[in-house]
Amino acid sequence: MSTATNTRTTPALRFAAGVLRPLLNVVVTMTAVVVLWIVFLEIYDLDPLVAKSPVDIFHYLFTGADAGAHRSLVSSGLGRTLLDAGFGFVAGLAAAVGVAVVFVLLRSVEQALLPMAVVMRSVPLVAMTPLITLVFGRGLMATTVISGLIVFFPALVTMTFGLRSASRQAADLCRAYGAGSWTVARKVMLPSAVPAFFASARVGVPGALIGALLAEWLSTGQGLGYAMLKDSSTFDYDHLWASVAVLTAVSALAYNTIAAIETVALARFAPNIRPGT
Amino acid sequence: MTNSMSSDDRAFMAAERRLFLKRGLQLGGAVLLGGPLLAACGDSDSKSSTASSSSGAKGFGELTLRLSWIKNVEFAGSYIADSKGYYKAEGFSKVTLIGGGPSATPMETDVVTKKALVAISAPDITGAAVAKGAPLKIIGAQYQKNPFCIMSMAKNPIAKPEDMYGKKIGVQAGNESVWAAYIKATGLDESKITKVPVQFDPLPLTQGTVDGWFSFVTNEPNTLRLKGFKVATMLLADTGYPLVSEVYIVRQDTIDNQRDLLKAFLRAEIKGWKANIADPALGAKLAAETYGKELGLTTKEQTLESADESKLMVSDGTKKSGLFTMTPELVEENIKTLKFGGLDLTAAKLFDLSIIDEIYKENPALI
Repeated sequence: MSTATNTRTTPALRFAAGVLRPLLNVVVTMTAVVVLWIVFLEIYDLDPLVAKSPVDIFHYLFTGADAGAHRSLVSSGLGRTLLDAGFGFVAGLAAAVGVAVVFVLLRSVEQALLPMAVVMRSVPLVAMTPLITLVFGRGLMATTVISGLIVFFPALVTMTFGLRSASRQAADLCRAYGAGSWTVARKVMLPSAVPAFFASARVGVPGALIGALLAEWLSTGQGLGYAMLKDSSTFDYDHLWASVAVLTAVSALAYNTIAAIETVALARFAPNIRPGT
Repeated sequence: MTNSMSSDDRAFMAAERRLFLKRGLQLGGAVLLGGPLLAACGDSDSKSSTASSSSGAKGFGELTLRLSWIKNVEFAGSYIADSKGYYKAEGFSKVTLIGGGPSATPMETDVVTKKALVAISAPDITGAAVAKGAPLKIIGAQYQKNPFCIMSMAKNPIAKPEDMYGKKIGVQAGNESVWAAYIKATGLDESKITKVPVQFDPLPLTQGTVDGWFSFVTNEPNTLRLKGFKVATMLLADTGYPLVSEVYIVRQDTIDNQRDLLKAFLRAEIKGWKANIADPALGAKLAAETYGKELGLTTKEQTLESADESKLMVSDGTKKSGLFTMTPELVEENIKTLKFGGLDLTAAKLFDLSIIDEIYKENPALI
């Protein structure tokens, strides 16, 4: 939450606050998750063989025997998942920006294609994954498509709205000086869609991760998505819970990293919008 | 999100949490109090039903059996025991059969967390859980021979393990542990085989996106054969993986405290399975038309499967000492195979066959 005083402080201070606050947020988020985790286990009185506590996971990853091996097992899976999610995130967001610009510039394209996009979105991705696998194979392409699709749709809607919210007067001014649609899009619409872009990016982080996990589970058989599924059939609940914990932390970190970049970017493009809202 | 949480919110949450805990305890108490009441109902119910039965067993109330797969003919014996009243005759007021399937909780987890008293599983999966400290035991084995096979199309057959080199094999995540153990037990070079994650519909095999398919020999091969495909199968059991399967697993404390109940349950299962082996169509009909009605099974395909099952269940050993029993040699062989697969367990840690042996000793007519 930025307070009124915050926005008036010097840029350097503001920059530092913008970077540090997200870090603090990660700590707060993880503390809340750990507390909820402990309370959940306590209330439901689950069997400790199946339901692992934060202490168990800490022991599994850092202090227990073979902790090093466990760490490298989790991190190798995580690396794969992050790569899958990263590609999907970038591809989904880039596609959303591109398509949104086309939609805004060419109204008829939007009218023709948006219903199709909505139909595609309403098919559960779990059901669509085998088809995607059939078309794109079982490699990085498939994970990128699946993960990208989850990022793409909400981002498309937000971006289209963001581009439309550009100041009409500014656009008219550009046109008066002889600018074409593309120049108007570049000089007026895209800068004013920056807040929408960052909102999409933040929402897209967990989406990209979910998509990557889903793709790994149903299609590639690599990364944490598949490892976690395997864990339950091999009774390896330590690894399962550790994976969930690590994924949650990474997701919170990525979300807040984007929030940090957003703080800096919004100061430049939309000084009257509070970051993180 | 979390950053908007003020200290007031936190204080409120703490209070809320306490209330929540309290409510939880109250609810728990209600269940505890209600438990005996429910059990009492079950008791009186089963007493009335067993009064007329010859076994004269006391009432055991309800029992939950967790199946290892969807409700197809794989559990024919249980369907027969249920529909013909064998469970009732042994003193159970009701036996609930919980189906499994590709996305269900693992059987071991259901038994450990007491969602089910007995489950059908496989020694490699149970062994992995026992090695992780789960207090489980195998008390009987339906299949004397491992039912898993590598199915391939007849025109591109996989007849021996080495045939898989350079090929794509579809393996389901739930069968991953069996696959890994098989690779280790046979000493195959995993890097030469491309393992592909698949689900349970063998469509990719018929389309050629994979060359081999991990499945029960009773299941997918028969499905494809009825659709007119020519398929070849290679049993894991014939290629260095002699593990029993479809084993009954229970918690150790169930063995310690409810031995009579387990005996009664197994007796009913024996009767059910004997009926199915005598007439494979009986269980197939129940699976297709009653228990697995919504699965779209056909009696014809289920009958084929049912007959294949009998071949896996009946061996020279079971002819002599009864269904679900395991000869000491078979137990030894299983432990050895598990060891190859990386599970170092003693027979006493994984198996407790004293219950099933006792049943036949007390009642030799059941053999």
